[in-house]
Amino acid sequence: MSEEFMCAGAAVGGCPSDLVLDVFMLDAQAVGEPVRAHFGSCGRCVRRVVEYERIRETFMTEVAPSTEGLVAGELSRGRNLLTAIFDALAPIGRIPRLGYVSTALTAILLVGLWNLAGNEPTYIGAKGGLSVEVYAKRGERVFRVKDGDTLRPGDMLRFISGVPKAGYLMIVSIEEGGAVNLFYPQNGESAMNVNERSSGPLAGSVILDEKAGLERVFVLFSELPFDFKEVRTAARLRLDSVPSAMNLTRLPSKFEQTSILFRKGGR
Amino acid sequence: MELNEITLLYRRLGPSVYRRCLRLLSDPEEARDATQEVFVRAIRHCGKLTDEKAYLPWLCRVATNYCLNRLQHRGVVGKVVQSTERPYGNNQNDFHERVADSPDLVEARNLLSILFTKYDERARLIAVHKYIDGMTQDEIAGTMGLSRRTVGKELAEIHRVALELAGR
Repeated sequence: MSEEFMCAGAAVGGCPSDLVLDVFMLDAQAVGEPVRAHFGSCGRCVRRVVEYERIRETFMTEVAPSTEGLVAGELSRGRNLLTAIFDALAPIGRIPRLGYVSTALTAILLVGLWNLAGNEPTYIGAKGGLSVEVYAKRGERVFRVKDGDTLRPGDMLRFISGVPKAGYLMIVSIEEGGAVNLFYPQNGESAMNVNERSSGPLAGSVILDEKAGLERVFVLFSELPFDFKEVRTAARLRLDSVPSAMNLTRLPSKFEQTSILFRKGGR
Repeated sequence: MELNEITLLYRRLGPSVYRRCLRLLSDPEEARDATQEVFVRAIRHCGKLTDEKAYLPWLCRVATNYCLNRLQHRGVVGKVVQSTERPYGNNQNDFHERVADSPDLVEARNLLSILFTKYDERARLIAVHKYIDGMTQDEIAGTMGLSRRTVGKELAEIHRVALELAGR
C-alpha cells in the first residue's frame, strides 16, 4: 500500500478515515504501526472495526452468494458465475477418474481437471480458518448446497475451500453405507499441498450417482502430509462406532476439519 | 481480467463497498444491488484497475457517486430525520435495521439531504468523503484525481454554506 495509508490522517477527531479502515481490514500490515495502535486502542475505532467485521460477515454469507454470479456474469456476458466456472471445464475436457470409485459407487464420476495454472489461490479476506462452500450444477441452474439439502443423481458438484495456512488439503465423502470416496485432489491419493493461506475454487468436479441416501463430505486440513488410505481407515473405524459422525477421529496427525451433509434423492 | 480474479476481487473488496453503500443508502437490499452494480462497472472499466492499491479509492469513488445518484432519484432531498439512538445488541437478525438507524447514519443522511439542495456532483462527493468517510484532503484529492488546492477550496465553500444554514 502507498505511503498515504501508512501515515493516514486525522479527519474525524483524530481517527483514520474509512478508506484507511478499509485498507486496515484488508491487510493490517499495510498501514503503519501508529495507525494499527490507534485501531486497537481508540474506543470509536474499535467499534468501527467491530461494525466492519459484522458487515463483512453479512456480505460473505448473504450478499456475495446472491450477487457474485451476476457480477462475474458481466465478464462472461450474462452467464452465471458458477455456470461459467463449470463451463470452464469444457476446454480442458472431461477426464473420468474411476480409480477412486468403489464397486458400489460406479456411477460416481470424478470428472474434469480445472486447470488453475496461472490462477494462484489468493486469500479472500474472510477470517482465517478452514472453510468450504459446495456448489451444484443441475442442467443450466447452479446453486449453493446447504447443509441438509437434497441433491439429485447427475448433479455436478464443485468446491470452493479456504485454508488457514500452508499445509495439505483433502476432501472425502462418506456415504450412508460407509463407502469412503476421494473427491479432492483428483490427481493422486495424497493430500494437495497448499503453499499459503488461501481460498478459491478447487480443481475438478464430482457427478453424483444414482445411489440414494445420506452423504457427508469432509474437508480435511493438516500441516503434515497425509494420504487417502489413512483417511479411509480412520473413517471406517469411526463409522463402526459412530455411524452418524460429523467429524473424523483417529487421524494420523493433527487435523482441522469441517463437513457438510446432503441427501442424494431420486429424480 | 479473468473470472477467478473477479471472484476473488469481489470477495476481498466487496465488504468495503457494501459497507459504504449501506451507510449511504441505509437499505440492505439497495446496498446489495448497489454493490453489485459498482463491481459490474469496475469490470467494464477493468483497464483502469491495474493494481490493488488503486482498487479501493476508485471503487470508493464509484460507489459514493452511484449511491448519491440513487438517493437523488429516491428523493432524499430535504428529509431530515431523528436518530432512534438504539444501541447495538447481539441479535444478528435485526443488525441491518440497527445499522440503518444508528446516530452516525442518521447524521449522514441529513448531511446528504442538505448536499443535494446546495451543491453540484463534485462538491457532493468531496463533502461525503470529508464528512462521512472522514477522509483527509490529501485522500480526497487522491481518490478524486483533484489537486489538494481544489479540494480545499470546495471544502471552504461547503463549510461557509453550512455555517449559513446553521444561522451563524
